[in-house]
Amino acid sequence: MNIDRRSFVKLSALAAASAVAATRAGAATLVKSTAPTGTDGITWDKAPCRFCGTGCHVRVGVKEGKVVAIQGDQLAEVNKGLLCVKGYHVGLALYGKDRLTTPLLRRNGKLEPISWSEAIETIAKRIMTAPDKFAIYGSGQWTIPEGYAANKLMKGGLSNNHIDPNARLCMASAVTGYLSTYGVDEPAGCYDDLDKCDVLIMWGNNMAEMHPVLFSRVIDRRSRGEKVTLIDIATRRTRTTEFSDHYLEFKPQSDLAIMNGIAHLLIKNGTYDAKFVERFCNFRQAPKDPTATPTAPLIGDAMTFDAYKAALELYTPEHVEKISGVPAEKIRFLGDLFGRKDIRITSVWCMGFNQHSRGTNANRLCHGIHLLSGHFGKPGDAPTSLTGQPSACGTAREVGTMCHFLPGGRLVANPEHRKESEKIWNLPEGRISPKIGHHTVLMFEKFCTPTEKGGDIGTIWVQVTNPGQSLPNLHKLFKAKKGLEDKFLIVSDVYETATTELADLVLPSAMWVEKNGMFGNSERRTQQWFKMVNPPGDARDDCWQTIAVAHKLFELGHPGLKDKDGRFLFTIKNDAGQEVPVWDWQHFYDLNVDKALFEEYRTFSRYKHKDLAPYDEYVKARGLRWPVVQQTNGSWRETKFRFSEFDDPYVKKGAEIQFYHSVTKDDKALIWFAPYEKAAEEPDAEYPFWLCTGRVLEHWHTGTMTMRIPQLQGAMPHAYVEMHPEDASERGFANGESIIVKTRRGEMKLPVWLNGRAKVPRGSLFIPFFDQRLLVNDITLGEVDPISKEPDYKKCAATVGKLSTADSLRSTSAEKRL
Amino acid sequence: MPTSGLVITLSADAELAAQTRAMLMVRREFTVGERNDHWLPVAMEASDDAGSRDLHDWLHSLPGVEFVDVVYVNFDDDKYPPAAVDVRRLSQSDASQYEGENFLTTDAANKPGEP
Repeated sequence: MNIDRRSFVKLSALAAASAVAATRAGAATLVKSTAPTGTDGITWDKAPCRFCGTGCHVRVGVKEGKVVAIQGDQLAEVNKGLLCVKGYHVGLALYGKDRLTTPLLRRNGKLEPISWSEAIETIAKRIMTAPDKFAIYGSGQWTIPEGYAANKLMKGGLSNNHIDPNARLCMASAVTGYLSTYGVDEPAGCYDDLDKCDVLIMWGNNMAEMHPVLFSRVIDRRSRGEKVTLIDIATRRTRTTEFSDHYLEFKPQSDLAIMNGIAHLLIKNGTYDAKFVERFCNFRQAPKDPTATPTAPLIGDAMTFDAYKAALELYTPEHVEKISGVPAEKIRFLGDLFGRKDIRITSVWCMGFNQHSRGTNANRLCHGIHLLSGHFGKPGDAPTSLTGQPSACGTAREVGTMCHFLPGGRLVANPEHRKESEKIWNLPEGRISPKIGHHTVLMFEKFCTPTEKGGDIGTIWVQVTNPGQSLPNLHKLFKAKKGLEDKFLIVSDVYETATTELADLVLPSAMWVEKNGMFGNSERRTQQWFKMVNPPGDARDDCWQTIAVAHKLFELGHPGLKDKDGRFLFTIKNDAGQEVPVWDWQHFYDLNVDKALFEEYRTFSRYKHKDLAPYDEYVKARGLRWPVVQQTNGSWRETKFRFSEFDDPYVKKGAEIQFYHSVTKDDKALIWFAPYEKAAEEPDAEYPFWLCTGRVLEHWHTGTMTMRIPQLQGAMPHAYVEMHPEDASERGFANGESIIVKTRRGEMKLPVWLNGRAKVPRGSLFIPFFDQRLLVNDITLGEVDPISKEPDYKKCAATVGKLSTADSLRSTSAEKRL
Repeated sequence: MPTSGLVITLSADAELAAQTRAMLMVRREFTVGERNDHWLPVAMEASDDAGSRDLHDWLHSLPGVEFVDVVYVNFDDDKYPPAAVDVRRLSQSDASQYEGENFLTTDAANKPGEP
């Protein structure tokens, strides 16, 4: 049959849609191939989406060296062929007009093109001059091999633990929540819980817009006639609220009180699961001396059940109502719900808990009410954090790129863990430093502090992230770098960003399917893809950049770049056993560097039962959830539900539930008591509003990719401030009028949006952070959680004013911009 | 010419759902596939991005449409990838250019986006 190209494309689109419709209706299981092939010159391959942590798989259509089509992958269990508005535009993220194509060095204030060899030598010489003052700031967008290479260079090569990922800004509190509850990071359950739960509670989580494909998965169940109750517990009404059966609006910070209120009722009503608690749980509270050891805040002090019960007595529904604004009967409703044994409850959260000055405690309390009520360990009964970046779990957390971690959940402060890592990396004993490095906020604070005043970070290499927009309190933590002549900022990225504005050296990077890669999503699923198109100009892989700098250091004689046999730290051999000079770009793709690094890395994964399969297994799959354990027939089996005997191969027979990395070494999880505490900065007479920041559906994080996609930029062109119409009316603000928003850190002007997509309560403001021109992080607080060191972006005090009164606002304010 | 594959979740109201299908069948921008329970697959062709957004808006406005999911996008055309946004130019702007009408006329102003 002869058909023209237009008809062919249309048929392909219809075939893809038909397959998904059939799958959703249950008329077909996952469909193998849908689109016609062969006559349009498009070749297709699989890749996970480049954007959020959901981990949707896309089919990428390539023609004449360019990505020309995107299709949801019907073989992918995560998204079953669906994509969100960002996902189906992901291919266009490669083609912004202003892609960086050559290295640029700042000379006399201006970025000028230089060669790659000069760029690599410049970095190596900066490191050689002061290796202890060098830091790498990485990302949950690093691929697994990229993060692993950077981590090995720093901790195994330079004996320097000043490496931290931007996951510190989004997931660190989830990490400390999991570690202190189960003794090991990451969720026990997975997305299958969304298919099985009777009740889905979204805690400060606008799932409809931030994880729309997962949300669709739940809404689909309703379309099939299943009953699933959605509860939105939030500080502002969003699109998620529109679909929810119950909306509970709470005052910022008071989620701590709500969860204590639920625990109080479970005990008071005798509806907690006494058998589950007795068999599988211990009780904990904050330690008297949190500084006693590095892990003291995660271990806590033991408390008895009676002491726990007594601590909760204060949190009656009426008291919780007073703190949170949520009516007492709604607190009772939640208490009753958790007390029921005939339903399954899944809790999900994301930044609402994590970006919280008590983020660790918010995470702990949520795990606690699930454990206390026994809503744990069965499909549909799970507390599960969602992530915002495609490999926040796979790279930032599992590869151990945080300043206190080694790969595989090992700790730099633990001598045994260092020894094991040195063995895998073939390093001389004592190479890895026991000193915890600077976490993100401290790293940038030190970088922005003059050297003579204790600013002990002189050079930062930023890879795959944009701290010039995403750090809080930017004047203090980023912009203060300006004028510090001895500080040097290196940025590897694909576009100019708020960060490159202050960079001294800019390196053009390959992105997404312009390179091989592996990600790990929110549900412990490790994913793989192959390079499909070439990057533009002279842009190169981040992994190559790291290895090239490592080799230059080796050439310059840095002793750390040799293993204990004197070989280069990143020696990679081909099948014939010959070393391939992968530090030379011409040879980087002579073999699969990702595979070589991953095979080395996965030996670490066994220590905490996060077993990864061989690389080739991921080539065949649309991701596998760890622990992936080899079966007696040689096949590899993923694990959906950790700690549960029916699915997790590491649980002892007959144990039913076993927390085999228990903090208390008795296979039990910890239920923590943590009190409600006031926020670090609350509204007052001078700054009467709560200011919250966050994301929007169309843009991904700082917008460096999505703002370059015309369809997305057109749909949401700029930032705004959401305000309650009555607050606006009292101040004479019209919809769309530009106003001043001011905090103790500074001020900004931006248009006010009334009754828009989301609705804030009186006394609250919301500003998204995607817009480089309207940087809300100029005015955010930056107070960190004392345990996770994650900043609170969700709460600070602000005031508003008309543009014409800006001068008077300035003169009456007690605080000036820092 | 942007071409998308869409899956439309139709209303549980049989009459509304049938009306919706009929309305789609008569518009030349849509090629309608076989309905599967509540889910209707369609291919959508638009003249350009603005046309594509208008069609999405129209779909969302139909009472028989519960949800629209996009599963396939092809931008293999002379005009695609379209002229990308020059963020450097935008960076020189300040918020005042977004006051009033410009802001409120964006299609994002008072309705939700794609699921």
